[in-house]
Amino acid sequence: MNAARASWLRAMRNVSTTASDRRWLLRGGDELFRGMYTRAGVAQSGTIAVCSALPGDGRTTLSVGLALTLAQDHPDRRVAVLETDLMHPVLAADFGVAPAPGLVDALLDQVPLREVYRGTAFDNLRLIPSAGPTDEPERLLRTHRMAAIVTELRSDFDLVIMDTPAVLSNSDAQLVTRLADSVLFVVRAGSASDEEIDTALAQIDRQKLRGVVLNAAHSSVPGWIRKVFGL
Amino acid sequence: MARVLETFFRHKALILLPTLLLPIVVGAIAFAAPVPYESAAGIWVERATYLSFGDEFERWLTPAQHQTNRLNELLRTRSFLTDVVLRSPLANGLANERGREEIRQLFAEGLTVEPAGEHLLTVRFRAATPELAQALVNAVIETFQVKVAEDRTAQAQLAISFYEARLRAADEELRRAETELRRYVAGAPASSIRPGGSVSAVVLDPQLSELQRRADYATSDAERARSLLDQARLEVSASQQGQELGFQVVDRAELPSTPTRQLRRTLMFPLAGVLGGIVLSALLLVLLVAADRSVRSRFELEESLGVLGVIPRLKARGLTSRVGAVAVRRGIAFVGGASLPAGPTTSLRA
Repeated sequence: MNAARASWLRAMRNVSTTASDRRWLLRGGDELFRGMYTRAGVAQSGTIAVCSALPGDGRTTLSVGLALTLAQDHPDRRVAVLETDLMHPVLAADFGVAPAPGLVDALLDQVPLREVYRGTAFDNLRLIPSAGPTDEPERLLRTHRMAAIVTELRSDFDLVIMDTPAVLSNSDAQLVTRLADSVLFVVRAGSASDEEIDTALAQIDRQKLRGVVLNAAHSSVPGWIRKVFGL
Repeated sequence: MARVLETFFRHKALILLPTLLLPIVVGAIAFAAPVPYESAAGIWVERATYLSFGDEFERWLTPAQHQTNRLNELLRTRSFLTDVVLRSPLANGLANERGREEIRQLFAEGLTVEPAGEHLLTVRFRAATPELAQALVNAVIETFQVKVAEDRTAQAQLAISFYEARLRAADEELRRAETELRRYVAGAPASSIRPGGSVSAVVLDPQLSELQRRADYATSDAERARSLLDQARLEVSASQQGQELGFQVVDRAELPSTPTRQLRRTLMFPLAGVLGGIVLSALLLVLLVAADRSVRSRFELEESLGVLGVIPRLKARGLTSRVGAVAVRRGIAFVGGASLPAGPTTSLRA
């Protein structure tokens, strides 16, 4: 874990924003996400919803990391990342693509769904930004059009990863998880309390829950003390 | 245990602050406080030789223990303490209640009376100045000396008054008996009865015999009472002269030249500060552990949930937390085409 962090530092120091040589800046990052999707058993096909209790817990990071690893490991499969957080969109800015048209436009039936796909460095990976923020996100996500979009995405892609809003922020996450085959839950260390996590999990279909990912984990305890106490 | 250790190392500076700070503060206060001066005097005491009507228990106490108990009891009385203070530079403090309270506190903390042997009594006083310490020791001794003398005088007066009254009663009885005898003899026939006459005349007259007997008894009673009075006066006189020997200041209170070195101040206060700091630190740790209800490690997640993996914390140095979170997310996504938030100078560390 320390070696990975050290390589992260060196990599971030040496990279430039225009680098064409794309690589994992976090050493072992692909293996990290590979282990997650393997244990979750979601590598084959279907829709995966990534949710968390509170905003900022790392849903987008996990969604993108899983999508990139799946796309890289399985070049024969088509992978998509669907941003369903209509109030706090970040995907377009992260990847430097046009924010619109996006999911909102597709939900409003203003553009065909395929026109909102965005390309990435991997040929088999596409992004669907939300094109938000919008005034009435919950109204849009409850329409029949959303279910139809998900169905259409299933036909276009083998794996669809849906980056949902925070469960405790609004009820949109519940809507999205109902449309998914599997759910992954993200917990950020030091963020949500036990009670908040339990409350969020209570709103998710436990049959679909494949597991939990702990994000931003860090121990202040020195290594030798952890060894002594077996931690 | 994991949570306790995690909380401790996460907030170790805050948790250890009381343990480090309190001994320094307490030690500084203790050393900054004025160091007292101590003056002491030694007194030789003897057991009282007369009118010692104490209970059996007092026989087992040495003279020094007896007088120590007596002095300590007297010091608990307002009147005795007032007498002591009036003989000292603190006399003005008696003008108001606050001053009297401060004086009581000063005596409670500064005065020590204890036996230093069978006959030796030690009086010590710790005060802010050497002059005050010496003056207070002397005031205590003087007042006690006066009190002891007054008590002995009062007891002596009581004894003498008792025997004087008894002598007066005996003399009165003697006078009455002699008067009755003389009257009887004067009224009897001149040829037959003479006071102190032949045995046959006294024997033949029972009334004369009775009167004579009363007179003889009253005479011996008066003599006995006189003898007891003389003895009491003699004892009182001897004891009053000898009380100087029974209460003798053998070591006068000297003016101390250096402050009293107190081991307690040097060692115990900082040690108490350390202990108090440890208790506070422990309390703080307990509070922080109880207040942190969030999940910190994979072991705190329920086993039933199934932990798929752990993403380590990756911090962005020199950036605000918001921008740093963006940098971390884009750093993960960089392989897929994401752009980093800043130029080549951006640095991230774990």
